[in-house]
Amino acid sequence: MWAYIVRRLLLSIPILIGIVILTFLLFDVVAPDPAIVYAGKFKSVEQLQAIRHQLGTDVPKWRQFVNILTFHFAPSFRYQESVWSLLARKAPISLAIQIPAFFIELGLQLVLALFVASRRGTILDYGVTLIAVLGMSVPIISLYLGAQWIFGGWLRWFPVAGWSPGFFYALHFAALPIIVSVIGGVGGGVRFYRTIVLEEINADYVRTARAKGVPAREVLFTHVFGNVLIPVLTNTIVVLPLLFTGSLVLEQLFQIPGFGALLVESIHAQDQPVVMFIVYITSLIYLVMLIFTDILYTLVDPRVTLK
Amino acid sequence: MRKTKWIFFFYLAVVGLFIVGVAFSLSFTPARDPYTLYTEHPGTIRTLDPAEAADQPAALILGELYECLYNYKYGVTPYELFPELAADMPVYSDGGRVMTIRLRKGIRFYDPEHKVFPSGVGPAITAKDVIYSFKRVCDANLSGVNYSTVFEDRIVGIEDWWNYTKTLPDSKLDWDRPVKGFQILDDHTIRLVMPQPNPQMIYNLAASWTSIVSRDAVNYWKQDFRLHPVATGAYYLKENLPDQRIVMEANPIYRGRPDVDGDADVPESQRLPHIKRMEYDYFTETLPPWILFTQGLFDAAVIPKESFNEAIQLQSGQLSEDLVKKGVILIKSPLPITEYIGFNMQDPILGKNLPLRQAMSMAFDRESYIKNFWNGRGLPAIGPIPPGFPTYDPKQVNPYTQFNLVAAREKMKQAEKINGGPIPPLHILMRDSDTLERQVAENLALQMNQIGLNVQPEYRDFARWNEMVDNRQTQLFDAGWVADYPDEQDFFQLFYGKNAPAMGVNSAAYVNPAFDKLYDRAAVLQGGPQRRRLYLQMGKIVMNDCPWLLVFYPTSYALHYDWLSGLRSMDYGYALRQYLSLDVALRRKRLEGR
Amino acid sequence: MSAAPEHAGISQPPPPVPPRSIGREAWRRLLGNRLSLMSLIIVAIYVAVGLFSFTPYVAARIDQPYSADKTYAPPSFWRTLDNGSKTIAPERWFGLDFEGRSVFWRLLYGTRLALLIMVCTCAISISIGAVLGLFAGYFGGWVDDLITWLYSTVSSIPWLLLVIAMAYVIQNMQTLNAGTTQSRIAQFFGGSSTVILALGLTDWVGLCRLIRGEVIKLRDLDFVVAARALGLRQPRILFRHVLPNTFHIILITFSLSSVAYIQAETILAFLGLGITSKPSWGRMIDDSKLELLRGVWWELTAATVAILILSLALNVLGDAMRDALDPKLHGVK
Repeated sequence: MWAYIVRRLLLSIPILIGIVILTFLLFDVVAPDPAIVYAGKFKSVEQLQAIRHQLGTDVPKWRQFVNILTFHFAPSFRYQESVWSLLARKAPISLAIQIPAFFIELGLQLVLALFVASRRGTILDYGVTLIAVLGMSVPIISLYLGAQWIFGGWLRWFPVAGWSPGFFYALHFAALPIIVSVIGGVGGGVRFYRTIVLEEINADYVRTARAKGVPAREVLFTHVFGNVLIPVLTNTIVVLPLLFTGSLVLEQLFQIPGFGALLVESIHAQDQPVVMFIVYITSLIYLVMLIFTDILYTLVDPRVTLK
Repeated sequence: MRKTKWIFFFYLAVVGLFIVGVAFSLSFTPARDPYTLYTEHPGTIRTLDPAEAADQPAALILGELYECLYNYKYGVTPYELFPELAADMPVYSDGGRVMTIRLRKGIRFYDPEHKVFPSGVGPAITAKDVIYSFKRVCDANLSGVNYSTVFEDRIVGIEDWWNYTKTLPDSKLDWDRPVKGFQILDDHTIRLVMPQPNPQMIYNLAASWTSIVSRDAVNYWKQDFRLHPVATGAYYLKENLPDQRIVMEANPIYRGRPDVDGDADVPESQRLPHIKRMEYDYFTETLPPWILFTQGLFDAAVIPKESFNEAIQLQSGQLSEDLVKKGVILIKSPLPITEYIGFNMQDPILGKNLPLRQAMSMAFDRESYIKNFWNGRGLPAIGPIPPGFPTYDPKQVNPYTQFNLVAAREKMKQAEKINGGPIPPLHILMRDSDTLERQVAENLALQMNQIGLNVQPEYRDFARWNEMVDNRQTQLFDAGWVADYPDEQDFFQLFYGKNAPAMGVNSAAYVNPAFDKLYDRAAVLQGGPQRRRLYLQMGKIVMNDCPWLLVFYPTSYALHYDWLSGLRSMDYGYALRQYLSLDVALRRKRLEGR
Repeated sequence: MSAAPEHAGISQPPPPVPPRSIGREAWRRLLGNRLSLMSLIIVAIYVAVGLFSFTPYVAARIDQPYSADKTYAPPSFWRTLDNGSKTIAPERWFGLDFEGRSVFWRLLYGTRLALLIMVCTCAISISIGAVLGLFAGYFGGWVDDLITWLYSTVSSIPWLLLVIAMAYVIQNMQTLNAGTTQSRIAQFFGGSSTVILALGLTDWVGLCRLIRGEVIKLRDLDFVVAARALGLRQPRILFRHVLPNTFHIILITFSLSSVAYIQAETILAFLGLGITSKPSWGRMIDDSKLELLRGVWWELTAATVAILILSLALNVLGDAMRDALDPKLHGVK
């Protein structure tokens, strides 16, 4: 098992190098010189050199490359602040939206999926599935824009946009984004989990249990639910630690100063250190979580062994 | 079964809690203080260190916190300077090469956090502080974004200082190292020595980059000085939530008016600032702040282009009745901006083909352009100098900015002769790719089509645009210039031959020895009829040579509610909010009426 | 479609994967299901409308103002003529936008861009994914390692992030000295080439992985072994014998990811990336965000509904195809 973990970790090193190469290609080789962006209206050679020195872009490329691989990130050009402190400042804001949204969404998906699957073929099943597919098909931007306009601008139930520190103040601003993100995301999951539940319901052990006279509801909630949890777990565990990256669109539209909005703004403002940091860290976490998921498999399902 | 049930109930409880929390939070609207000014602020603030800040969003805030030697008189046009931290206007000697400036006495730094100065009150400003602040602007370690704007080539011996700062880190610099051009005569007198007379230097001393900072504060905060301003202005920084909001409160030891000494006694009725607290929220999207303004939650706003028809009646140019009823007031004022399309004079097709440039200029219908794309918010351009400058004359006639397709087609024939055949497709580089830029570019292409030209738009990010224009890698480029100070020289430097090489401000790379000669003569002159004559001549040359396709002079349309008074439109200067006042009762009445 | 059965006939056991019959069977099942038949008709209508909007008839109508005051008008079926009589006015069916342009015609034109984006992006992503997956699965060894490394790298970066980065870079990279031919191509794509490239170059990973897996299974099957034994050249085996047997995967991927592309286009438009010069649905939604305030709901609604119906149809169709063609792929998203 440990050998497996070490081997997987070693295998992810070339992937990490690939990621850095890719982001370097995208944001350093073909991007404009950031010094020009920050120099203002009047530029002189002297001044541009000074800015390059301050931003750290006059360091040789291979050095920058190694620095990123070894977690020595340059400070943000735009904020003149270490990327870690940016992370510490912005990630909690993104999480304040993402965590409630994620768990409410997941719960809703599971409940609906179980419910619908147990009434397979009825009007209810078709209705909910249809609504789920509808929810998947609505352009997410339209949903957000519409909700912002109706609930924020017109009915004035929620604030239009903005953010404020403090638990209830934050919730005041976060409520609408959380609700719309649940509405926007619930459909896909319901459909996905429904198929999983259906597969389980048709499994032999369910038939056996039913034949032995166990009530349908108990089979559903004990046996089926327990087995459905495995794909759910492996499906969600990968994204869970990435919740801090927030939602790009949601944060942009509702003016939430979280991590997602930071990324979009950093791309536009040529803030390469932040972009590289985000890409590198999220990919790293993703890779680690993939390994973790595999290990988790062996824990929840003894039949699986790692080689 | 039981376990699952518990999971289910737990989940229900969490969701229930969430719903209760949301319901509860609805009453937690951030408290609105009746005496606070609320408005939006465009863009994030990167730094509040005057030496480091070179952008407009930062300058707006810096202006409220810090003070310079000079500032612009509030609401006075044509613009006039008054001594703010200086005691009087500078005394020039040695044919204008030397400026001697006396400072006001008894103006003290205020430290809102009581860290640098435990009592909160710092020492009075002296000549040493002023020279220290100027030297910081020329410190290569601080990125020196303002060095080339303000002092490079303009102060004797400044290059030595700049090169010296490159050799050492900030902490090891000897700040008392003498610079020939920065002299301290006594505690309250400084002298600036320039290599040649520079009448525009005084405007630099009124720009927020040359604000006076406290050396103690810099030493105390070091890198973090950019977030902890210690200054002398009418407001101090109360709270700065990056990307959220910035809160400023009235400086308790402020002397009451910017143009008096620190120990002068200002009567209570005249004491500034009137508004004791200001809260600015950052917005990058245009929709939310506009909704907040129409809901009365912001006191002032600019109109997003797309909402223009909602706010302003197109025919009359007046506010819509709906907004008038709510108590909204519109301020229209011309901006010191010239929007243009630059011709890269180094381009083999455009550079040597004067008739082509003139033809394009004549084929462009400015009136319909302003009407269609700017809702009529602007005036057609005549010359490089926009309204608000003494040499701008609305009655002046420039044949090449008159829309005249017949003459343009005539010119095109000459142009093709010079080119030795039909003109190949031309490319125009746009600054952004938003809706407006796209429409503008498509419109231009259509207009140029009328004289048989094929103009193709290319959209770039502002960063890439900058790089391409600075390296002269374009043919046509969409651009604008915002004046930095109320002197035509600021525009004419854009045509000066010495600024034509890559990175210079002469983006069109226009070189004309006749123009340069006049420019050299005018550059050393203080204002007066002689300089005015030279400016007019220079303007004529530029109009004839068409290195720019002059487009228009935009007008600003700003809105505010009637409970806010004292708002004047100022193109330059800062510390403007201290003159505003808030009618608290009226605001409450109007907002309750909703 | 494939020569596999003949060659399989030479080797002893019968071919395990007869593609033609499974295709016919799938068709039968698709047409038999009322819901998927309806979806198929809807998609066909969209395609017809999209083809119609390639005509200059539509192109001439998208930028033209239809009201004298060049401003909004709510949807109406009729238009009042000068003499007071009414006439049917299709340009006003979905209202007029802030410059008095017809939302109806712009929506039609958007179908053209949507079609282009779906087809071209799929063409790019599918050809990359299929070829790489084919090579990786068939050759194995270092080729497999390299390709696996490549797709692991790309798939480790969150997709939306990668697309945004790509779109940003491509938008700023296009050369300035474009000749006339290139600009004619740009005209044809209506400026959607940035979106197409950004999406196409990033979204081949899933398909690559699926095809690689499938090919690994196929390469040891008898008809492939037989083809090799017959001394057929590698490219012929790869593209005539192996690839056709992965068509069902490609078909399913096409129908499901084209939906994702339309959605991604709206997101990119909202973020100001990959801007089209002609009205796309995403751009219409983005344009309408400030108009909502004035109660101008029709532009947003029209574009949203257009996307909604197409996505719905493609989603249903994709599912049905998955069920019909490859029951094993059940539950794979």
